[in-house]
Amino acid sequence: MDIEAVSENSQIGSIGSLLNSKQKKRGILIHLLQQIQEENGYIPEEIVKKLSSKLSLSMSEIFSVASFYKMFRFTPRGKKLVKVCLGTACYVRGSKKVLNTLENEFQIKSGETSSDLSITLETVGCVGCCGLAPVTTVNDEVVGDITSSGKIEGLIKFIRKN
Amino acid sequence: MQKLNSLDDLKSLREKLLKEGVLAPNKKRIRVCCGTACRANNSLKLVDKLKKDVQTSGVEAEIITTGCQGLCQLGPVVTIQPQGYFYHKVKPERSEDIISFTLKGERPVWDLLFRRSLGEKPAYFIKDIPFYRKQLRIALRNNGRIDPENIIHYIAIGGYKAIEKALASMTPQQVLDEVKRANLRGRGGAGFPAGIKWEHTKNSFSAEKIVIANGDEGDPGAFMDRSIMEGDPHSLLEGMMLCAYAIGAHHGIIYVRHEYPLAVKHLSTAIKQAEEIGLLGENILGTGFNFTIQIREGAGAFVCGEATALVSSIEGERGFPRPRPPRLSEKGGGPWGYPANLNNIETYACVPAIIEKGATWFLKTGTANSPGTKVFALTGKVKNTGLVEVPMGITLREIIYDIGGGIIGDKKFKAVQTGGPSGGCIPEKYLDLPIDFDSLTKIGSIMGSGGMVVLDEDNCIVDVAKFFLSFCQSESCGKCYPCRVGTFQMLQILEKITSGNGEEGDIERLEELGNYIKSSSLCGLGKSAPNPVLTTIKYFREEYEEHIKNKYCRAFVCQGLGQLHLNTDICYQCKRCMDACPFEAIKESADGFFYIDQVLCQRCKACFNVCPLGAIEIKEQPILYIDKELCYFCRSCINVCRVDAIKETSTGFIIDSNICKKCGDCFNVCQMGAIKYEKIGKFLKIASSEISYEGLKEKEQIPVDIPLDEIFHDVEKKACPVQKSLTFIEEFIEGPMCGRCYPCSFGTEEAKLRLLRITQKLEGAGEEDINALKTIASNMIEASFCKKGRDTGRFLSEILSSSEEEFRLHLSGICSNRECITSISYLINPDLCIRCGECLKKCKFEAIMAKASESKPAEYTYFEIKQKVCTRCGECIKYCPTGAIEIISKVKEEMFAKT
Ligand SMILES: Cc1cc2nc3c(=O)[nH]c(=O)nc-3n(C[C@H](O)[C@H](O)[C@H](O)COP(=O)(O)O)c2cc1C
Ligand code: SF4
Ligand code: SF4
Ligand code: FES
Ligand code: FES
Repeated sequence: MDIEAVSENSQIGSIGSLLNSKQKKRGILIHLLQQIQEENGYIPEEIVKKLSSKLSLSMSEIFSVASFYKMFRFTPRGKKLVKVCLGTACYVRGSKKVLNTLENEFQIKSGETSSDLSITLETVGCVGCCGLAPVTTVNDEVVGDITSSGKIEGLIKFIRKN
Repeated sequence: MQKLNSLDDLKSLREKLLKEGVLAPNKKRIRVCCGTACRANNSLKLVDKLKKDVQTSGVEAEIITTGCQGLCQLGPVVTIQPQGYFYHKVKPERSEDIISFTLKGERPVWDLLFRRSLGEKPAYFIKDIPFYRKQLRIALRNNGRIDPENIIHYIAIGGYKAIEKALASMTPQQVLDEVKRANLRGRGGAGFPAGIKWEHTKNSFSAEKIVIANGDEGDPGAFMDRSIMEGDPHSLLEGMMLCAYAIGAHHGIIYVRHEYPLAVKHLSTAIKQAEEIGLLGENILGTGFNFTIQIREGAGAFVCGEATALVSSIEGERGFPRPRPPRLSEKGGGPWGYPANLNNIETYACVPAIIEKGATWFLKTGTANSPGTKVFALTGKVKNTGLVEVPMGITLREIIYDIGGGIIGDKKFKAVQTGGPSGGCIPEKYLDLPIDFDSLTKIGSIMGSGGMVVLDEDNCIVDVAKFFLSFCQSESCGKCYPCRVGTFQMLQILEKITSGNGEEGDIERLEELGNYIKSSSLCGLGKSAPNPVLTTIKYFREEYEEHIKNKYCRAFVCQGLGQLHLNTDICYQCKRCMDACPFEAIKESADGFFYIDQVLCQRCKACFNVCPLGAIEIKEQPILYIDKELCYFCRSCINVCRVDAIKETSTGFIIDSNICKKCGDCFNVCQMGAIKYEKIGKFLKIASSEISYEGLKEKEQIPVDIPLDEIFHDVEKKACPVQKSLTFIEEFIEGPMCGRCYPCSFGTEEAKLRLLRITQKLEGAGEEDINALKTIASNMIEASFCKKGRDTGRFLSEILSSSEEEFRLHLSGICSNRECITSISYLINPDLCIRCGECLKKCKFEAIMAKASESKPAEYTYFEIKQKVCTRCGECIKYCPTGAIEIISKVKEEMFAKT
C-alpha cells in the first residue's frame, strides 16, 4: 500500500465532515493498520515509519495503539494462517493432538512461522463452531471435526495446497 | 437498481414486487442456510449443486441463501416452499433427491426430516420441531427467510415500511415517544430503556449527533448479534435510520468485531445497496432527511464492547474506557465530543417492528417491565443448541427443557450461566422463575447480551467460575488496578482451590476481593468480572468447601483432585481410550496391560466418557511418602521421578505431595520398599469393591493379573501336556474369558472339545484334532484383542510344539504320565495287597469285589477291580495302606496280560 497516496477523506468516510484534520488522521489509524496487516500479513516497521510521518503521530504512539489490540502482529506471517482451536470443547476432543501433528508436520511450534513463510501456526480460544470440534481455521476458513486420522491428512493437504 | 426519489416510489416498488410475486409463499423455493456454522458444514457447495441441478432438471424454483436459521448444530439446514418442509444435515450430494422428491414429486425426503429418535415420527415442518415451537421472532423476524445480500427481498417482505411510515406521517418526537412507550430496553447488557437514552441524546445541545450500533460481540459463546448482521442487515440499518430521524443525527457508525468477516461483508453490501436505491445518503426519499452509515471494524479487544472504550477505539486510541460523566449522550461524551446514541444490534433490530406495528402491539408480548422478546444463544449441555428468540417472562425450564430438549444424556441439571463473563450462575431452584431483566438481576445474575450456558452434574461449578474469571482477567485493559491485579489474584486463589491446595479462608478472601473489585473498577468489565465467582459462592458454597476441605470435586473435573485409573480386570483393550486421549496418557505396559500414565494425564475425562465398559475409574488420590527407616539413599527414586517431586533434605528424602503425580514410578523402582502410600482406592466414581492400582501392582499383590496366574498354577500340578492344555482351556473359559472376540470364544470351546476327544480317545479322534488345535492357537495369537486371549493361544501353541509326540501317543491310547483316565486302569497288585478290605469299603461305585476261592482258605480272598464300573476316581488309592493299587496304562495292561 502506498501510504503517501492514502487520502484521509476517503478513508474516514462521510463522518469526516465533522472532524478536523488531526482527528481524521487519528481516526483512520486503526483502519489503516488493518489494511497494512491485510496486505503484508503483519505490521512492518518501515511502514509504521511512513505512517508516522503521514499521520503526524509518533511511532511510539502508533505502536502503543497497535499493541493494545490482539489482532496486530509485528513479525511476518506465512501465506497460510492456521489456527488450531484450543477452546474447551475442542481441547477435550483432541485438538492438542491436531496441534502436535501439525507442529511435527511443518516443523514449527505454535506461534511460529515456517522459514519459507508458507505457514503460520497459531492457537485460538474458540471460533464459535464448538459443535464441529475439534476445529481449525485455515485463512479464516473453518475446517471442523478433525478427529479421525484420515481427516488430519486431508487438513494437511488442504494447508499444503498452493 | 433504480433510485427511489420519493415515498411513493418506495410504495410502488413494493406493489410491483408483490405483483411479480417476489417471495410469494406459493412458489417453489429452496432456502439454504449460509450462516457461518452452516458454511463450515459445506452449505455453499450445496447451494452450487442445487443451482446446477435445478437448471438441468428444468424445474422452476428459486434458491435463496439465507442467514442463520437458528439450529446451527444440525446444519446445513434447508427449508422448502410451498410445503414448508424442514431438512437438516443436508449434504451436497442430496440435492438431486430434494429436486426429484420434493420439487417434482411434492413429497418429503424422509431421512432429511428432523426426528428426535429413530422410533419417532419425523417433524415435517418447522412448526413441528420442538426447538422452534415456543419461539417468537421479532428481532430475528426475517432471519432465514430472505437473502441478506438482496435489498429487494427485504423490501418485498415488508422492510423499510417503518421508515416510510415515520417519514410520511410521524414527527421525530412521535417516533421517539413510540419507542419510549414501547419501553424497549437495551438488549446489550444492562437493559437501559432505549427511548430514554434516545431522549437524552436528542436533548443534548449539539448540532451534530452520532448513532452507533455496538456489534462488538465479545462474549465467548454468544452470536445473536452476528446472526442479525449476517442474516438481516437491513433491519439494523432501518433501526438506526429511525433512531437518527428521532434524535436528529446524520451519521451512523456500526462497530463490528473483527472476527466476523461475513457480517462485515453483508453489512457493506447492504449499505451499498441502500445508498444506490436512495434509502441512505442525502435527501432520503425526497424528504430532506440525510443519513449515512459506515462500518468500523474492531481489532480484537473485548473491552471495546464497553461504550466509552468503543468510543476511544473509534477515535483511533487504545481501547481504554473513560470515566463518566460525560455520558455518551451528552456533549463531550461521544466520539470526538459529539453526543452519541449507542445501542446494541438487537435493540436496533426491534425498532422497525415497533414503529410499524405500534407500541401497543409490542407491549402485548413479554412482561410488564420488560416487553418484547430476547434472543439467547443456548449452548452447553442441552440437546439442541442454537439461537432462540423467546418472549420475556418465559421460564428457564421452558427454554432448557422444551426448546433445548433437556440435558444431554438426561443427566441432572446443575445450573445455567447467563450473561456471559459478567453474568452469574442460576441454580435449579430458580428454573421456574419467569425471566426478564429485573428478575435476573434480583437473583444475582444479569440478562447480559443473551449467552446461556447450561451446566449439568458433570460440570464443576468452581471450574466454570474460573473459566469466566480467567476470560475477564485476560481481557482487562489494565487501566485500573483493582481490575488488573484483583482479578489475577482471584484467579490464583481459584487455581489453588481447583488444584487441591485450597485453604481455610479462601472463600472469604474471594468474596472480599470480589466486592472490592466491583466497587472500585472504572468500567463494566471490572464491575462485573467477579460476578460469576460471587454468585456461585452464593448458591454453591458447599462445592467450594468440598474442594477446599475434602479435596474432592464432585464433578471430577478439577485436576489434582481425584485420579483416573484403568481397571485392567475390566478392560478388554479396545483402544478407544487411547484414541480419545488428547495427551496420549494411556499406554501399554511391558506385560501387555493398559494403564494411565499419571504424569501425562490431565484428567480431561475423555477416556472416562469413551470407555464402553466403564473400565476407567476415578479414585481419591493416594499420598506417597518415604519411610526413613528403610530408605538407604540410593537415589533411584529421584532419578526415576519425572516431575522432580522428590526432594533431598538434611534429614533424608521427602516427596512433595503438591508436585507428585502419584504415578507410582518411584514405588516400583525402590529396592527397599521404602516408598509407601496411604489411603488408596476410595472410589469416587463407579462403585466397585475391588482395588486396582497399576504401577503399584507387582509389589502389592493386588489382584490384577491373578486369573491367568492361578490357571498357570493349577496347570503346573499336572504332568501330562494334554491334561495341562485341557485344564488351562477349561479354566480360561470358566474364568477370565470375556467372549468378545471370535478367535478366542469359539476357538477355546473348540479346543476344549478336541482335547477331550484326545484324552478320552473318543471315536474319530485323530491327527486332524492336533492340527486343528495348532490352527486355533495361532488364530488366537494373531487375532485376539486382549492379552489374556493371546496368552492362552501362546500357551497352547508352545505346549503343542514341545510335546507333540505326547499328543500323538494319546491318539493310540497312551498317556505316559498316566493322567488321562480313559487310557489308564486301576489294578490291585496281589503281591502288595494285604486284603484289609479298606478299598472295598470306600469305593462309592462298588467297583471292588472280593472273590473267595473255594479251594483256598479265607485269607486268600482275592480283591479285584471291576474295570467296567471303575470311574478312576482315585478314592481307593488314598486309603490303601500298602499302596497296592497301581495305575497302569491300558496298552501296557494288554501287554501285561499277554506275557
Ligand atoms: C466489558 C463490556 C463488554 C461489552 N460488550 C458488549 C457487546 O459485545 N455488545 C453490546 O451490545 N454491548 C456490550 N456491552 C454493553 C455496552 O457497554 C452498552 O451497555 C450497550 O451496548 C448498550 O446498548 P443497549 O442499551 O442497546 O443494551 C459491554 C459492556 C462491557 C462493560
Ligand atoms: S475496570 Fe478493568 S477493563 Fe475496565 S477500565 Fe478498569 S482496568 Fe480496564
Ligand atoms: S476397554 Fe476401556 S479401558 Fe480398555 S482399552 Fe477399551 S476403552 Fe480403554
Ligand atoms: S471450543 Fe473450539 S470452536 Fe468453540
Ligand atoms: S448457521 Fe445455519 S442454522 Fe445457524
